[in-house]
Amino acid sequence: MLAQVLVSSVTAGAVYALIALGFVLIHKGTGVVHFGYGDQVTFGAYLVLIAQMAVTGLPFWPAVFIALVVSALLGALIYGGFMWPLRNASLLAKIIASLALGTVLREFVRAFMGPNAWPFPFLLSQTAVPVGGVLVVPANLAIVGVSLGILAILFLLFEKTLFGKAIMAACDNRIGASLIGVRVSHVFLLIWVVASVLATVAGVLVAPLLTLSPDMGLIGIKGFTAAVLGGFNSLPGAVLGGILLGILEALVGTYISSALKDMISYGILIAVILIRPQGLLGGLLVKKV
Amino acid sequence: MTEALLRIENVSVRFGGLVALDSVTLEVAPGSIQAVIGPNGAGKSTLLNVITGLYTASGGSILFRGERIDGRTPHAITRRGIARTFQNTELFGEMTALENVMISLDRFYAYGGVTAAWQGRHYRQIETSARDEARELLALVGLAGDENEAAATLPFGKQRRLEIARALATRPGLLLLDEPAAGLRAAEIDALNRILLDLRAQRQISILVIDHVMPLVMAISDRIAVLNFGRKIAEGTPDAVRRSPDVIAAYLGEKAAHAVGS
Repeated sequence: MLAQVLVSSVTAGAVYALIALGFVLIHKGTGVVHFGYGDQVTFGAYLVLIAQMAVTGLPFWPAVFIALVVSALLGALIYGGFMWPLRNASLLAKIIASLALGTVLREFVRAFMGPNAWPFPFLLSQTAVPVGGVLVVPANLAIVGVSLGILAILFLLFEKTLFGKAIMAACDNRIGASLIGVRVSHVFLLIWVVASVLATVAGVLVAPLLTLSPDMGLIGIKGFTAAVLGGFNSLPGAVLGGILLGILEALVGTYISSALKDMISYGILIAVILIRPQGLLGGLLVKKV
Repeated sequence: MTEALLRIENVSVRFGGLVALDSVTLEVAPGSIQAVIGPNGAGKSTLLNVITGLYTASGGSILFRGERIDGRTPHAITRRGIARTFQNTELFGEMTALENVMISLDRFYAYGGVTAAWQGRHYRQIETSARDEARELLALVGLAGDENEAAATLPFGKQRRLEIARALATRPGLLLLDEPAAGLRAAEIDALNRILLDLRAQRQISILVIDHVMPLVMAISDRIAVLNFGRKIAEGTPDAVRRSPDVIAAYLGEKAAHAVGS
């Protein structure tokens, strides 16, 4: 029973990890918590449906590809249209812009796609297959596989290449980075594009698990909690936070009450902020004078 | 006369009504160590910031190797061959000393994503040569034993020298140093002097250093320019500048200048 719960919970955890990673990337790059990120996740899933409506008879996979390309462009637009002009604005102005952005995306899909839920296909079959006494659903396995694959690629990029380290350096210290020849504006553009594509991947993975409606963006709070749990400035922390949150939710849902399942993420959020504000893997921030 | 490596011509910088630099003209000859001194608020840091593109000049022009660089962005100026340090250092605090230097070398050791993902022989060769060059630079500034320390945990004097190594990793023709001796003890200043003289001798790097600590600039500079209230009030060899009444007045007040002059 416990093994079954753990196996199932990893699915949700992997998606939380992806969303948390997006939060952390954007936060590292811009210093902003992007409160509209959950809505970007929803919007990404809708992009697949919109592509299929625009081109009648378009199969699922090409539609996903188009959605990924469009969301990359959306990321570039967000940076070029909002965040670059606001680069010297106050933190509050940036946060309001990110909130507004989420609201625009959410109300756009409500206005054009209606307030009701849409069916969304799974990547693989939903028929459970017994593996070593535990039931494994191929659809869920695909979610975990895609998430882990993306996490591995990002890990290689940021931890193993000088280019990735230069990106992290630019996030850490813009002046220092520009004076060793790093084009900081390009780095931030790249971060917005990658984070926006990540949001769409998460949206496509999570839409069949939840119901795809304009308010699916509330999933953002789960990713946010996972990021806080992991330390908010640590990429491995975000992944660990996501998986942990998924497992905790499943344990509470199974052994205590499924009604309490969603409450757990808010509870964790409050507990982490009170007890360990730097998160599990976050280093203490060294404030320069 | 040979062409100047850096030529600053009538450069002014204004912030609203405040004139931080007032029509300053200055040259750095190839292979020379040029100093700019002056009391606090004289415009020394503004001068470095306008050369490196952090500030925009309100007037005048800046030429590096005969090419206009004023109005360009900081990374573009760095890529043309001007590197700098900061008085309060702008290191990547959470990274090790070695990583700080290696990141600056990134441009010269490019490899594709596939190479990095494969982690094969080619990748290791590139990483190894980048690491070797970074270690050589750390050794040059006397930090050979500190390569795995996080930059933020190094003592301040070593952070300064690490920033010099990181600046050198951009393979500059001109190195700008922002008050490198401030807060250092006499022995540390001597060590810094030796490093800077070695740099010029071994790597043909010209240096523009701003400071108000006299022992450093007097000992190593070929020429010294003096700024006061944003204007250049004197320029010459260290000896000539030391004796200039204008300079003494700027540093010690008018009375002292009269006392010395009489």
